[in-house]
Amino acid sequence: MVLSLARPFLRVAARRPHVLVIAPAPVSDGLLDVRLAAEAALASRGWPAADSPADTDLVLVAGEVGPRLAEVVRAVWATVPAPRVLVRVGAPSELGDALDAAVAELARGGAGPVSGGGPLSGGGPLSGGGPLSASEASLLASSDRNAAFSMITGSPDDGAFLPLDASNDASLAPEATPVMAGLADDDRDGLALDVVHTALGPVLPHWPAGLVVHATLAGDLVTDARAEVLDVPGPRERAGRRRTPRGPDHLRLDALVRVLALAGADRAAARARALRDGHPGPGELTAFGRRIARSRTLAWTLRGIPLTATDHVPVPEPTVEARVRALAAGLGGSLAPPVRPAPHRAAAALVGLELGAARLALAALDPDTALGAGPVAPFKPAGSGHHHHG
Amino acid sequence: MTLLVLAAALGVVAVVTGIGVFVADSMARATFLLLASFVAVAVVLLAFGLAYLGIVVVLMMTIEMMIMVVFMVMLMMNPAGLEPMTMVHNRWGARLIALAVFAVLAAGALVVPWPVRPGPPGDPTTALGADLMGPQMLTMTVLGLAILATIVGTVAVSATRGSRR
Amino acid sequence: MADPATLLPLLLLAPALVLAAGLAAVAGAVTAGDRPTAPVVETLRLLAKQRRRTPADDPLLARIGLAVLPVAAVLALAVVPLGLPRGAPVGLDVGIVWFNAMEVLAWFAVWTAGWGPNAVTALVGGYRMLPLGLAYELPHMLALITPAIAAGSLDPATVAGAQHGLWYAVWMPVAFVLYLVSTAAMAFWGPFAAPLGRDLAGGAAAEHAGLDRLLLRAGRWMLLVAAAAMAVPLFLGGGAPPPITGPDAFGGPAWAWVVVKLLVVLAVLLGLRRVMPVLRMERFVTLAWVVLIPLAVAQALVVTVVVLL
Repeated sequence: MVLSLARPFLRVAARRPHVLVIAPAPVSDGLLDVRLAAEAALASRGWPAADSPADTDLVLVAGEVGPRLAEVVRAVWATVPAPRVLVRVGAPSELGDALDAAVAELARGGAGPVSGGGPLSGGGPLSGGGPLSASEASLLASSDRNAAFSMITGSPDDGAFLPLDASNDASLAPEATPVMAGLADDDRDGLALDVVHTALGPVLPHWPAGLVVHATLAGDLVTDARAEVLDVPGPRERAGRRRTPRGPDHLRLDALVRVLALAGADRAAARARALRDGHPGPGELTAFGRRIARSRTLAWTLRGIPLTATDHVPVPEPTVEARVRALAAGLGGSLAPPVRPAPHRAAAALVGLELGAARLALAALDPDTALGAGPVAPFKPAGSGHHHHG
Repeated sequence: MTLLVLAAALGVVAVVTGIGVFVADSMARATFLLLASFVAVAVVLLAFGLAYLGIVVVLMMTIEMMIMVVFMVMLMMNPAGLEPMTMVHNRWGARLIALAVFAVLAAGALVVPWPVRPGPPGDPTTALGADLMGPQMLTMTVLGLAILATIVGTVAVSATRGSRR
Repeated sequence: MADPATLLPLLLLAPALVLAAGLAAVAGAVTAGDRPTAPVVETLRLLAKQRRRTPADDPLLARIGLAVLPVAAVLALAVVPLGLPRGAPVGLDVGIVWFNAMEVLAWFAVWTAGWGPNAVTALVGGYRMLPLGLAYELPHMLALITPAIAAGSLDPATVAGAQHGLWYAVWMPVAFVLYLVSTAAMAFWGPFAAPLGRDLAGGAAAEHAGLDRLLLRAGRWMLLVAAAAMAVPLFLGGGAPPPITGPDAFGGPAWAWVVVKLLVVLAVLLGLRRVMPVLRMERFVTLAWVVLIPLAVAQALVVTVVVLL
């Protein structure tokens, strides 16, 4: 029915798959290389980044994945609707072939031979359950950097779906705890308002790789936030400034890409990404930096988000607006690299912010996830003596 | 005749969805059912040729429901009614009050001498405005502006820059 | 009532709006630096994509909301005089109020779409529609009422006819600009896309896949086109040619002028998207209540005083 109609659509749709990139924290330059190469490859092919698992056709795991992140990949994969493909890439050189193979598979339906009434009909309740098959799990856990890319395809009907109670929001919750509403312990207004405990990241658009912020939300207000970097316990001591072959402008541009994209300044974000991935001259960099630093519309929408926590100051700039201006103004110059706070300090600065403002603040802070954080014990619902009034 | 049947059917829809408000176990569904009830009443008004009144009911009730939602979500983070809730408290008191109010309204509907003429000629919207405001039109307009100015002034004074911490 | 000549425009209204919304989406893709084929590919992709549910969700409510969105857009367009020989598809003497009521239904649609999936980002996204609506609605209502006051009618066709010689866009520029801003806002599009924000992984759309997602995205373009179309009779003289070079210097059928003017309005909106980032609701609400509402009241006051004199 729908399926036979949908078949020719698949080939067209596979020309422009939405890609969800999942990358581990860049503890080595090699891991950073893979993520950057993946982002550049997607941009050059004109493939949009997926907003959420629901929006995803192709899950691209960029780099070697530790056990905690592998759990997340598995949970996210389980909620991606068919047709869908997952590829894991261990090195930048594998990217081209991996992406070509992935779209070829997507054009076939992403689930091998598709048959009537099967994976595309959809709409029914989430069924199945249980873990990935052994072969799939081994692909994810594979840490052999020299192996060629690995690929998983399949529809949720293959039994890869999460059990019903596994996660309230798989795009956000890496550990499969039900995200339940509870009462706030200490509410700033003295009202017993409901709060929700949720994990933000690591699979969110323009989110620092590998980072999870265990947050308590009262409405859209962050009332508590603790950072964890998956598979990288911390915080580690900063052993001097880590050497990076890319230089301070690369760090600035990487942070600016995120802030600009989250602020919806799409053209500026695309330009920043092109500069980051290319080999721009200092003149180009200063010109771009000056344009961003002077943009009134951007400053207007970023205004009023403080970058301070109660017990410390994570970065020299007091607000997101000032931070972005400093990042932009430093481009192409000879200033020292921007200060990048440890993840737990960056998370602490999110408390008291509205969720959208918190996202901008985190992107502007650009925490160094290689320093590690956590692990954090997931929130456990205290009891069930909770009720609602209409 | 068709009009009466239509009005009766819509009346039934309004009452059934109205009852649904108190049966639904999710705040979102209760809101939706209440809105559906109001829209059914609005369609009755439309069918009787009172276009302005009917449309204003849809407009105002949709906005009103959405403002209710602001309070709902502000106070509780319970998407889709994951945890059961009820719209009914103090059942006996509520029933007594509801019955009393119904009796008064029903008596009013029966006792009030309704006009028999088909209504004034011309635009019913204009007639309604003149009837509601009468000679106080200017006063009401000025008052309305004053209230709006007060609201805007209050917002302007209370709007603080920066975070809500 | 059953006259086929009046029914035909009504039946063609929905397909025409879908087509127009598709063309607008193509223009939007080109402006954003994407390929012009992107909206077509996206539509086919979403049609072939599996729909999706989340644990403990309310799919019925969410899908009612998603279906309401395109329906509300078509119903809003129904009262807009498009320059056809018999006037608007539905001639209504209070058409402006009808238009406003239909467009407010979009609040409900986005909110239920965000509420239904029982997920944090979707809920916060749906919730963002409310501050957006409460911020743009009052300036929008005043911007709608101002031309109605000048023309002495709530019928868009009468308002269009009352602009002989001087378009209301020139006569009441503040109301026109506020109307354009609220056009983008009511379609939660462009600078007002916060309810579907990328920071919330797609906000109200975050958990919807396949047809559900298509309804939300297509419905939003349809709403934008319908709202932009209303600007033509209210502020740009409807189907009349530009009065600058004297009456009827250009001639041409009325519907063609409506189309040309609609294209201009849409081009302005796409240009707005190009220069503006997505506004944070906190910022926009303050702007709306402290600046836009007083401006709108002042504009309505000036027009009322001139009309009374």
